[in-house]
Amino acid sequence: MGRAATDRQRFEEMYTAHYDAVARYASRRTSSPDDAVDVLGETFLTAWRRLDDVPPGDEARLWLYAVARRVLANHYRGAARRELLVTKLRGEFTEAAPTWEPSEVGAVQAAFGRLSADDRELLSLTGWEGLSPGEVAQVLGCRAGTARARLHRARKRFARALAREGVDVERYGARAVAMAEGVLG
Amino acid sequence: MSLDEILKHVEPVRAVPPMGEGARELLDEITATPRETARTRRRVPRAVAWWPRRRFTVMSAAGLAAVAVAVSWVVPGFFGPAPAAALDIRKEGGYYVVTVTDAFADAERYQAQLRGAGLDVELRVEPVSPSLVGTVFEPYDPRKNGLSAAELSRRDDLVQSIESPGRCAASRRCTIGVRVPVGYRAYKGPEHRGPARIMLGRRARPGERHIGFAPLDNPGEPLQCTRFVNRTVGEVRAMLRAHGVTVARFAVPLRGARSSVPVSWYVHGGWLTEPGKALLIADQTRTRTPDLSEPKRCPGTS
Repeated sequence: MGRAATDRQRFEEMYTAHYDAVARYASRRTSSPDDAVDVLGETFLTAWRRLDDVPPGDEARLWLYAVARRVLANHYRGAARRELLVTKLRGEFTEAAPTWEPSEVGAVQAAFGRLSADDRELLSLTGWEGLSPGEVAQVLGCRAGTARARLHRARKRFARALAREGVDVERYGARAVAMAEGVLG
Repeated sequence: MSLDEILKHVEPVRAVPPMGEGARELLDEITATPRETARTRRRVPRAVAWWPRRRFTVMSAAGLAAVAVAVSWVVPGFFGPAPAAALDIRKEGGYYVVTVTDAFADAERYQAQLRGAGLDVELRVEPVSPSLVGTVFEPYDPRKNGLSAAELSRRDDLVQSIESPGRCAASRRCTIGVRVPVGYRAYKGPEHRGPARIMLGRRARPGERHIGFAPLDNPGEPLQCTRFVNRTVGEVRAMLRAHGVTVARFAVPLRGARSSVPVSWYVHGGWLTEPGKALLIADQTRTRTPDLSEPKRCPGTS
């Protein structure tokens, strides 16, 4: 009984601390709010079942990313939809999904889409999750040097793909800021 | 501008909803599922460690809890005096229509009837919030994944749910039975063997934890048809006490659960975790998340 209560409390602390990070990770890599909720749910369900394996502190976040990554790759993941049907959460995710999609980023999307899945994963872990190469290595389960080298090659390929799509990397920043202001204004 | 910054601009989703009631429901569902112990886990080969071996145990708990949150209420009195049969099984077109006529029958009676009709279906009864008692939950079947409601209704190889028309609040479902295709074959896979398992919500015994939860203001729950969201913790606690319910736990968004919070805080949501015990979601500020469960239809009111 005491053990169960401690476990629940430990899990809750981890859940509240990393919910947002895992929710973002899942949302960015799934095509529908429902899928995002599936990945989110199954990632934390795995964490609950394997609570003893979850490292303390911020390392838990990297551990959760690694689980979420496997959940995404797991062809069983659709089953989570039946296992955890959190209707309200699905509603909340649907509401939060952005409705505008600036067409200017189309070329960047196209370039990104040309890359291999491995390259996209490496780049998104740094670009979207803001992980350092060392942290990327932890998520992928490889050595930091390996992650750094692979990241370097992925960036080069991304730059080439951007050039092919006609994206002027130098001037992209100014355009993006103007675009953001337009949206905000 | 760095490549990482450029990539930031094609980040597919920039906003996820703040941790709200939905996130709390997920937390509750997850922690209601049985945990693997370290000893059993070590025996599971790494390749399959991501998927529970004892799928059914987990499914029955989590699956039920899961569907329960989608379900609103069953009209009190729907299950009248106990008839002879526990289930009503009728053949209509290409389907067997199975509805529950006695929500309090022994599991064996349901079983006998289902077997008698030759259905590859089993029925389990699990404790749920009072307003979900008598609700039927469809079986686990990954063949339904990704199907819209319209697509699902056209499939003649899958179990379909029967909802109670006009009895549920608009945004909720309340399943009162299932339609099983004649010649139905239950889903079989590495994670699920045996017959399809339908769940039926039953009243919990004292001290028994619910597996399905419904909001405290659902008709049939202690605060039925009473607004409690965005009232203070002190007010809601008094309201619950008047119904003999104590608040056993508070969940604070983004901060975790605790046993007490200031009475001046605001309640964002809540449900019964077991008979006479409630969990309240509470925070210093009012919630701005619209309550998806409203408006509710309350018996005797409009």
